[in-house]
Formats: sequence, C-alpha cells, structure tokens
Amino acid sequence: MIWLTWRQHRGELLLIGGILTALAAILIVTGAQIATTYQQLGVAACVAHPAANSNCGQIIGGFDDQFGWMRSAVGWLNLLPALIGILVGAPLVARELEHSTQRLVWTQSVTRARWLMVKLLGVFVMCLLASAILTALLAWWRAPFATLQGSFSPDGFDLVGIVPLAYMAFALALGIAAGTLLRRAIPAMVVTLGGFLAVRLPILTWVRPYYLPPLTVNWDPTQLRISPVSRADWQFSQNFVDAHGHTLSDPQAYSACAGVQTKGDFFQCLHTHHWLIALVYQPANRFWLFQGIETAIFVALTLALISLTIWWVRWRIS
Amino acid sequence: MTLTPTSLPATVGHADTAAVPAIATRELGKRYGRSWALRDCTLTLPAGRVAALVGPNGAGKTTLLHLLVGLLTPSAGEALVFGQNPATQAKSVLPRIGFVAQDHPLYKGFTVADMLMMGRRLNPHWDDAIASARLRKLAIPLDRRVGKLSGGQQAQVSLALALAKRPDLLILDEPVASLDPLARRDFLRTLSSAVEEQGVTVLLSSHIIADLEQVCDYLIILAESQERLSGAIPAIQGAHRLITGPRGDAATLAGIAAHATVIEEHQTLRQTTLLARLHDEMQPPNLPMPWQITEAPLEEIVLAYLGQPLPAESPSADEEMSAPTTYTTTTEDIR
Repeated sequence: MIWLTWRQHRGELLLIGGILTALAAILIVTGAQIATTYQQLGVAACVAHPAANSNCGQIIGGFDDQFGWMRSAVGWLNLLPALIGILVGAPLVARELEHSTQRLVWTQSVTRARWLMVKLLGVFVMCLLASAILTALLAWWRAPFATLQGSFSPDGFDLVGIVPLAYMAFALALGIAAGTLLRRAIPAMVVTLGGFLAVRLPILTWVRPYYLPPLTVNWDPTQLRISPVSRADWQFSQNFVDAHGHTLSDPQAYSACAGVQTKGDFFQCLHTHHWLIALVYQPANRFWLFQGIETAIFVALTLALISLTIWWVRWRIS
Repeated sequence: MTLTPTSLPATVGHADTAAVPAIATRELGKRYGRSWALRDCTLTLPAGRVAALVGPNGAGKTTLLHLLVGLLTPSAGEALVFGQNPATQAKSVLPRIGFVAQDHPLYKGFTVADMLMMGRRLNPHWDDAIASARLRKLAIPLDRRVGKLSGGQQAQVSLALALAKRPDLLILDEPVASLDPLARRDFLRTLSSAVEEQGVTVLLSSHIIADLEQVCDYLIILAESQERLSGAIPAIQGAHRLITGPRGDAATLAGIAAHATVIEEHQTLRQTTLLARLHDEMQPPNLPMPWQITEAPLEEIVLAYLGQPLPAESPSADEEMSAPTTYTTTTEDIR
C-alpha cells in the first residue's frame, strides 16, 4: 500500500520537492543579504540600544525601503497551502473516481479504510514535513524584520510558529474532501481555492483579533514620548477620547486643533483639551496563545473534513 | 440480523466446506433514494461453477456484483460469499475474490509491471508466475504503459491481475462488452483455460448470450432484480423444448399444457411457436403431425425468460415501485 501511494503520487511529491527547493534557494540567498545589511547599516545596534544613535529612525527607514518589498512579497506564501490542496489534495480521491480505479484498488485484499488511511498518512506527512522545513527557514529569514515589527500582526503571524502547518493540513483535507464528494478533480480544485480563502480571510479579519478581549490604553503623548504599545504588540486601532473616555471623531479632534504646525504642537493641543489617544491592541505575550487557538481551529476543521472523507469513502462510493 | 453462516439456507450446517455455496443472497436489495437498483434478489451459486449472469441493461447486474465484492452495502437482505458477508467482513472476503470491474479499470499511467507490483503488494496469496506467464503468452510487454495497450490487452491485464490473486471466486462485470469480436474470443479462451487450470468458481455478467455457451456451465437469468431461472446449462437445455405447429389447434395445446409449462407463445398468421419447460424430460408431450418438437437454443430460452412477466407478486407496501410491467406473451405481430 505504501508502495502504491508512492507510485501514484511520486509526481506530486517531486513537484512539492521542486517548489520547496526553489523557495529555499531564494530564501537562503535573500535572507543572507538581509542579515548582512541588517548588521552593516547598524539596524541591529539601533534595535539593541534605540537611544544610542539619533539617526536610528533614518537607518531603520532605509533598511525598510531596501527590503520592505521582500517582506510583502513573502506574504504570497500564504497561498502555498491552497496550492498544495489543489495539486495534491483535490485529485487524491477524485482521480480514482474519475477513472473508476477505486473498483480496482478496493477489490484487492486491502480494505478501503486501510487504503485511505495509508494515502492520507502519506500525503499529510510529506506535505507537513515540507511545510515545517519552509516555516523554519522563513523564521530565520524574517528574524531581522521581527525585531522591528514583531510577529503578531498578520504579515508575520500567518507565516511563523505553528499556524502554517495547520493551514497546510486544512488545505489538504479540504482538497481531499472536495475531491471525494464532487468526484471530479477540476471542480474540487476550484472549491479548494474558494473554500480556503473563505475560511482563512474572515478568521484573520474578524475572528482572530477577538480570541481574547483586546486591551485599550489611553496615551498622553506629552507625558510619554514613546507609544506604550510596542512594535511587538499587535495594534489594530487608535482613536481620540476625552477625559471621560468617550470617543471623539477624528474630524472633531483635527478641527479643534486646526492650524498647528508640528506633531508636537498637535499633541500639546490634545493635552490642553484633556484628550487622549486610545490604543486598542493585543499584547505580544499573547502571541503563542493566539497561535494555539488559531491552530486548534484549523486542526478541528481538518479533522472534521477528514472524518467526512472517511465516512463518505466507506459508505457513499462504490 | 445475524450474519453467521448458520442463517444460510439448508445447504450449510455441515463441516463440509464444499457445501457452502460460493454465493448466496437472500432478499438482497439496494436502494438509491426512492428507487431500487436491485430488489428482493435471492439466488445461490454453488462452488465450482462457471456461471453466466444474464439480464437486460438495468436489471441490476452491476449492482448485484458490486454488492458481492463489497463495493456496495445492501439496503436490505444480505449477500454471502463463501458464507461471509463482503460488506462487513471485507478483510477475510476480499482475498478470496478476484474482480474485474466493467470497462476493466487500470492505472493508465502505470506500466504493466507496475500493475503487477501493485497486485503483489496488495494481496497475500499473490502468485507472480500466474500473471507473468499469462502475459508472456499473450505477448503483452511488461514495460509498456497500460494506457498504450489496446482495449483487448487491457482486459487481459485485468484478468491476469484477478487470476494471480489466486481467488476462489472470480467475478467479472461485462468483461467482453467493450471488446471487438476477436479480442472477445481471445479473452474468453484465456478465461476458459484459466478456469480449468485454477479450478475457480466464476460469475460473469453479460448481455451477449452467444459468447457464453463456450465458457459457462451454469446460468442465472436476472430481470427486474428477480432471479427468473438458474441452473446448470445442460439441465436447462434438457428441460426446454421449442414446439411448432399450426395455429388454433386447441386440443394439442391442451395436451402440451399437461406435460409442460409454456414459457413463451409466439403466433404468426398460420403458425404457433412455443417455448416450453417439460415437467419431466422423459415424458415429452405426444404430438400429432405436423407438430414438431426440437431442442431449444440457449439464446431462445434466455430471451423467453427475459420476456416473461413477473410471477404474480405478493402485494407490498409501496406498490408503485414494485408493480410489474404488464406483458402480453401472445404477440399478433406479422413478420
């Protein structure tokens, strides 16, 4: 059975190997470049002792100008699980059903339950292994950016830690389940892409920020020069509040302080009105808790899809 | 419902395993939504037979075969293969069955050698020599991709795979339907010789009756899910006669009815042709001139039973499903 799984899917596995190798090569080359520049420009020193050099703002800005686009480009790796779900997951059962070969393989001496188990184990182990290697490499690659932006905001969170493996497992299970239920590989591929985005994006936008109630801190910039929300925290909004904590609209605040020249004057103006800036954020120490919750959600979805697939294969296909 | 062998009909009960029928179904049914693909099917195939399962398209042949190999689970009744339930005891039933599905599916991207490797890896009783000897004899190259073989060769590879499993029961679903006449003949020859060598029980479905006589020694006629007739082919042929005589000879017809059951009656303007089943082979009806009695070709017998209306059915709950189509056996058509 293991031999059969290998023989049937060696093409896909070679493809994954190829994609992984190419990505690894790109990441290693660019990552080395980023790490060197990070040292040479003095970004590392600035991060260690922000007060030591008055040019730190400029230095960090320069570093970001040079490599910020790479950080954004790496965001496309979020689609990699969907790609694997489409290429490996969707055809896994669907291709058998399209060619009626399930009637050949299920009437050998191996029960279909075992047939499915070995196949699932085989592709899950291979794809999760690839995902783990890539995630580890990406963590090294992102390390310089992580010191500047942290890893809690979505462009970091989605690519590091344990969630990438959960996304990979979910995309695979979705592809396999879609292929099993739809019995056709191409429609299953479309459903896999659509389904993956339809789950990932709403959770990212509307669910993840509220795994725990966000914290709010009221900041008076004239008292405290640096925002109390650090770069490692995940801040999602800021707005003006009066002394009683009631929210002011932005135009209200800006019209009251119209005519000020500098940021400092604006802050002073806010201060004279007894107005504060309310910052809503998730603190950095919740990072692993949030990773755990998000992983649990996607693992639960994965298990549900796999159970559905197993049930369907056992009872609904002949 | 207990699925132990003791719930089988009378034949079982001995320690003598030869008495366990290769196939026994009891009121077997498969329903999809509200329509029954197979219903109330009770039949037995003794071990050691090479049986043809004959019936029109849509009679439920494929459904029946899929139930027997465990690809489907019954909605009603039970199917037993060598006394075991293929749906619930797949682990012990599957190694004993060789199955060639309709259109003989194979992995088209595999080489023939890959297909044999699959058989070796997936079957405990696999015998490589059987498969490779058979393929060598047919000059099918092992390093050729399956997709590049002709339809006939693919059918032969499927058969070789099923035989190398060394099954006790070989089930073939319309194995020759998609083959040209030459490939069909070759396939059936291979099957015959394999059956002789391996002594395997065979059930093969077909709607082409002429081909089956050279291979099969047993016949099961299935129409609208029901077993219409089953038995050894020589016995069936021995019991049936084709009787022709002038039309409107009521006295002779009454005489025939005393010795035989008329399965089908066909009338032209001047002639009456009957296909009848003798009550006793030793006592055919005495017929006056110009009546003639001859052996009936197997195909005629099969067609007669397929055209026969269902026996008066016991009324069942949902009448609209089971209501048999009404046939008129006496056709007044002019040919």
